[in-house]
Amino acid sequence: MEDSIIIEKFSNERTRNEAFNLLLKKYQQRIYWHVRRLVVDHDDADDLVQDIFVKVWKNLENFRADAQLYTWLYRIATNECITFLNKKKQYQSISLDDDSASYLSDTLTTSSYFNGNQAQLKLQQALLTLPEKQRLVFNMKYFDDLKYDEISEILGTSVGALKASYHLAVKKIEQFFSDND
Amino acid sequence: MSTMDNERNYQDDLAGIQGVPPNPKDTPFIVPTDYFDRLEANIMQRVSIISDMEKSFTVPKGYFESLSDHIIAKIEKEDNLTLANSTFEDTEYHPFIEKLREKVTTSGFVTPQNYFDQLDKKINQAIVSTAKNEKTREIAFPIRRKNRNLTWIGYAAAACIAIGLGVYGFFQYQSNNFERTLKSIPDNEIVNYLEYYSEPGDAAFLEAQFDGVIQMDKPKFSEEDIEAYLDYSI
Repeated sequence: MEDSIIIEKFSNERTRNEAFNLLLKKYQQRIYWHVRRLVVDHDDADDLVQDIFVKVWKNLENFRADAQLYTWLYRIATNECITFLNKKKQYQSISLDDDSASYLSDTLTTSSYFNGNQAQLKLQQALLTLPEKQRLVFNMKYFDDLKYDEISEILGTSVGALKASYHLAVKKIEQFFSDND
Repeated sequence: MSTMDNERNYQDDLAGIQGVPPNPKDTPFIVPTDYFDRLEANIMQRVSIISDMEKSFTVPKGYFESLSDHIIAKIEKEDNLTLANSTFEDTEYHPFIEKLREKVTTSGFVTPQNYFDQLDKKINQAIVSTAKNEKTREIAFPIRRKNRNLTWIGYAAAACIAIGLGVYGFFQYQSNNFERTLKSIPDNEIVNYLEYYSEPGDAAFLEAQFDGVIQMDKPKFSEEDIEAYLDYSI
């Protein structure tokens, strides 16, 4: 179903619940995997996805159609993940200046909800060594297949900076693979 | 120890030390020779260093706007890639990424069985419980309304309480003051006053009021004393 129809149904109180359920069916998996790739742990991702969609429920009527609905959803999800990860760093007494997500590597190796092969594991470990922004950009380009314009709308970063960021991320991952062969 | 002894000890302690003020009340701190003569020049030198530094840390006009293009151009040159093309998404080619895509198509993360079948129910339940919590919070902490006509009542109540406390405090102070004044008067003055100004019935009145507290000795007058008194007073 088209996003415009979902938004129109949501604005009508009688069809609001129906519209929201349609939105959930359409986007919940995409949002979940976007969150999961960032926070690694399934239970954390589960909590965050619920919080994200509660926020969507509260704010969808204020959504202006000057952006695509899914970029708006991604933006909310990304901001919630960043807030969550910063809190996790503080809880583990990790400096906020440490931009990498290496503190999540234990979760990756001990998680029962990861059954990837060696290459998948190595890629995830490599991603955890990247600065947050590069990890975000790489995930959205490589796994979600988003265009640079869309990523630019989500992150509020210029297309040129995103291209440079993605290229640097690829180089670092390549280096990680060759160092850990 | 007297002040003179203190001063004598001070002088003994500091004998032989250069630059010590003779008067102990003067500041005991000393400065290097010609310090104040050179101070102005030192300050001006530091100020000129700071302003030179500020001038040197500037960038050309439009630097940041074109920075990303310069970086991309450099990357293209170094790695023999084409990044700046407007249809880059179609032509982007990283050999490493192409190899990686053959081995890695998904992230490797999995979910519990039937997780997504129940996720929308979980989310709807979360929305309902959030709405309930917000309502409960509203009842416990009612949201202030924009209509503020009733605030004058609050001010009036506060003013009444302040006036009441002030009046109470004033009278407390007055009575305390009176009692303090009374206590400061010597007892024999009070006795003399009472003897001079009291009337014949006062003694009996006081005895009745302060029964047992005031020990009134009944005067012992002879009949002759009484007759003499009556002769002279009438």
